[in-house]
Amino acid sequence: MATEPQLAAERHGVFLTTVTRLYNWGRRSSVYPLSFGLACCAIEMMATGMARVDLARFGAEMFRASPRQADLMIVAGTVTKKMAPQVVRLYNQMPEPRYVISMGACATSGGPFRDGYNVLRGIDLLIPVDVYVPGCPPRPEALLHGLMTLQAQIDAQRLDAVRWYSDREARDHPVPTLGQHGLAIDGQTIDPIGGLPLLSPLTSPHAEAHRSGQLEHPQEIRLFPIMDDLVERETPWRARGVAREIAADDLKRGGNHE
Amino acid sequence: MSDQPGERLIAASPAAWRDATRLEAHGDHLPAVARVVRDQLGYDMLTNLTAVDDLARGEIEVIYHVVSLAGGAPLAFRARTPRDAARLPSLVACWPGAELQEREAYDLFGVVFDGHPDLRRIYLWDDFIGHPMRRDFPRQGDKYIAGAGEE
Amino acid sequence: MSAHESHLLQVNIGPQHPSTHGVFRMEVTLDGETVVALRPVFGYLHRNHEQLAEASSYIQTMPYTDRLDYFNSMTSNYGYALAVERLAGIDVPQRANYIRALMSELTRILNHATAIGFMINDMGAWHTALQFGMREREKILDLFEMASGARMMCNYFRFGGVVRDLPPEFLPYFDQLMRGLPAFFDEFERLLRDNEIIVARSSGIGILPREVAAGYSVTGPVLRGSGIPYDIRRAEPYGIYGELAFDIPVGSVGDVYDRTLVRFAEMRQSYRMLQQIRERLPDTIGGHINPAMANFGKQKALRPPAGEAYARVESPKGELGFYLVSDGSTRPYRYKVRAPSFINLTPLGAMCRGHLLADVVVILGSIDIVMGEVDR
Repeated sequence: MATEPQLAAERHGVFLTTVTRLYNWGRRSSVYPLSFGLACCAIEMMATGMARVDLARFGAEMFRASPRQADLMIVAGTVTKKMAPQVVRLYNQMPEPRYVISMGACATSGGPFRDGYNVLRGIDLLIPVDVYVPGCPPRPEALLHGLMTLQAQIDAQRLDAVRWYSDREARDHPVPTLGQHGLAIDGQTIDPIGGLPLLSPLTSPHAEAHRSGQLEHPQEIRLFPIMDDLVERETPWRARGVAREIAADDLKRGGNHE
Repeated sequence: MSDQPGERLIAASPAAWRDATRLEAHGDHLPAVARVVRDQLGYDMLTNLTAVDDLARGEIEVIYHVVSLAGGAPLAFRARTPRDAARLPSLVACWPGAELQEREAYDLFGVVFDGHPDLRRIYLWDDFIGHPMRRDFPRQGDKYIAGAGEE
Repeated sequence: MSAHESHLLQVNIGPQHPSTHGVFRMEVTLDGETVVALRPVFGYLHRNHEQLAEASSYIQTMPYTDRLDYFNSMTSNYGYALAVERLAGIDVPQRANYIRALMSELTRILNHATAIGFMINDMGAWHTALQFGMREREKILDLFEMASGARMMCNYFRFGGVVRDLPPEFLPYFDQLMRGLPAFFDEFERLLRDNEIIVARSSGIGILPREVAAGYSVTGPVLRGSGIPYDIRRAEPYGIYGELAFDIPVGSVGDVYDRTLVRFAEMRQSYRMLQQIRERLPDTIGGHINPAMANFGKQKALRPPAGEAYARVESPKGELGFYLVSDGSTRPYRYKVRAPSFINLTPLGAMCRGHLLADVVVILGSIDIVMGEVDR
């Protein structure tokens, strides 16, 4: 990219860059994660910060205990329904720009505990996630790769396009409450204890997906029949209990449930 | 588990036992049984307290495992209570270590322990209705579908 | 009452707090800076381990036990395997028992090194002390990875033995680790045991007197710190522990410092046991698993006879017990974990009463809890 006059200027100590690049370089090189451990993955998150893997090489070793000082939330572990309101509240308290890494299978989808009555099936039901790190738990190297992926995403952001410099206002994500039958928003149960969630996952934060306040798929039509005639190919027991978007998704990807 | 402590138990207080081979105590006599187990038999530590939902008999069984600090295998004794009105006397006065475990059995199985100093839900929140570890509590998901996980 | 009459203040510590070892919450009532009452609040990591186990076949639960106490997956595996073996009447060959004990004692060193580090982190030393423990942990995790394929969630035990024998590169690396361990203990103790600040912050704090300790059902280093020499490896030996020589370190006062000293001493006792195991390991007979259970299909289709079993092991945190009720099917009718970190929290309120708020996190650190086990 460098042209001849630019190289000549650099020889004299003058460096040319764009504001966006400089700004993103600064942000990506000093990501402050929230010191926020939920379960098993938190131990691997700490191991990532320790001597062997050394997160500090990437400028992200400053784990802050207060969400006000952090700009990256690493959701490290199983999010239970009892903990979900706190997670959303912490996310809302973080200053923008803020990022979320969903570390491990539990934070991503509920993982092995997906069918537990008190387990949230993925934190992306409530807050948008930038990077998903698979694994149970992910090795420290995997989290490091997740952080590098996030840095690449930060690099790709443009100052004139990001929301927090425009005049569009920030909106807090709705904090669920602990209702009589499970998680509720505005008195409406969204994730019953012993049932399936009635919301779909939020999409990428760049698309600025936001909850409409409406339940997306009420329980009764959620169960069976699932979506379309592809379902016929599933074994019946599979079709009865699997969330419809997952069953349909698997089929579209050529998954075979026989 | 040998039957020997059981025989000694029966000798100590015959009326308190409903079923001597399984060391099953009458619910009302539970605190007295606990004191005998602790003071006369020397099982000074309550190690485990478990509720089992016996759906077929319509009863909830609470099992107490006690050990002696001198060593040896634990002794198990139990008490039964009907599912729809599950009530047992609390053993916190005898073993303070029962406190959290009785709260757990109350939260997940709905067994009310009379005389417990602070009987509240422990894992779920106070407003929640139902006892999720009971066998008839609704459950949904891949794991609960008949045939899943079996070959 | 003095002229400066004060109101009681309610403070919530957690569930998001750097010193609560996860998502633990404490409702503290303060008079000035002194704790008047403390109520622990649980359930922020209640992920229904027991119910999922009742919906799974017996061997499917083995990887879930890894996630109970995620520092010590090996001892959690051990307790569960022991309970199922007791229920189904499965024998374990001698070599498998030696491998099991070897893994358990490595786990104990790993746990105590990090637990002391975390406690000192709670005292305000940030991660300095923890770095030493985590450095040693990484070395031990390398060994676990060699044997089982995973760092943390080993899933190494099977009913009747362990999933595979030790690989050939294991023992040379193990010997190398063993050569380094005494130096690590010396360094760690020199750094932390006689440190003036740590002694000042921990002695006389959070006393659990000997007379009441057993009543509260505490086990492990908390009970031994209070002066009661109760260790399941001695009280009800399982595996090969009856053949190993070791001492049970006990404290005298029952304060935070005593519990820390017990952990230091237990690491050395584990080292002693590892030496004995290493010496005898080449002469052990039997394979790594009972031949009748070596086929994984056998493990999957296991149908223990109807009945119940309670088995317990001395996990680094205390008595880890598994209670199983079988109705003769492939899934347990009832599965209950007697979690040491959970029950060791029973006297937390009593131990914190009268101390300063800053001591609460230290006392909590000295109990050494792990939320996966507390809430399950």
